[in-house]
Amino acid sequence: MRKLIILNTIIDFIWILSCIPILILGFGFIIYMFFNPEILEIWQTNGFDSNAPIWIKQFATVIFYGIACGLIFAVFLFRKTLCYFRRKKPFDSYVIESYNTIGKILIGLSLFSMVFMFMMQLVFNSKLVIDLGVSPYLLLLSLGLFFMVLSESFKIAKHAKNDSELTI
Amino acid sequence: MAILINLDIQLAKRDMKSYELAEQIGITTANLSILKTGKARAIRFSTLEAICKVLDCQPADILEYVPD
Repeated sequence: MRKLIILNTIIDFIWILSCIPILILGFGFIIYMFFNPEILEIWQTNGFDSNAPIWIKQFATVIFYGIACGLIFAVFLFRKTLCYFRRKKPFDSYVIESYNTIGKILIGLSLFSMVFMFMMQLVFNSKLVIDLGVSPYLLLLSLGLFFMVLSESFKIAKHAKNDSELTI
Repeated sequence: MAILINLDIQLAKRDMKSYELAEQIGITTANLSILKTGKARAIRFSTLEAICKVLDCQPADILEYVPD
């Protein structure tokens, strides 16, 4: 149980200090970039050529914010499932559904990010870049699949538990 | 379910209460209720043996197969 408390504390820490500020500041940034496009020079410092039209940079920023929102939603779901673990209800239907949803979100986001970053390199830097090494997208994809497998395992465990409880 | 539990009939024949049977075979009344209402997924041989011993009957007196 101590490990669960540590995990819960870390996730709460990430949620309060990273997720909520990113949501608020990101939204503020998106609104502000339409009034002051010069702020989009930040793309240049991130290794992208600044010659691309402003609307492409704005579009890319909105997409990045969408990806961040998806990841934050996955953290939110995971945080909620930890509450069920603390209440000693690990096989609750909500946990099983949430893990499946988290898996789908992570897989979707990793595939989308992979294609999006490929397109970004093409548009901003006029380069065809294919990363064959260990990339964060592959890790995210694996994590998504792991959550889906976990969801399936929990479903089987729940079924076995019900069978065991109804054996007289 | 195709398997019916005729425990009520056997108890009525012997004028025995559910809690008395539960006490004698060593299971809770809640579990006996699950068995009587047909909600049980499985029954252990040890439980069946205990029921047969207490009620002095055969498994076939308690379990009945009814085609769906």
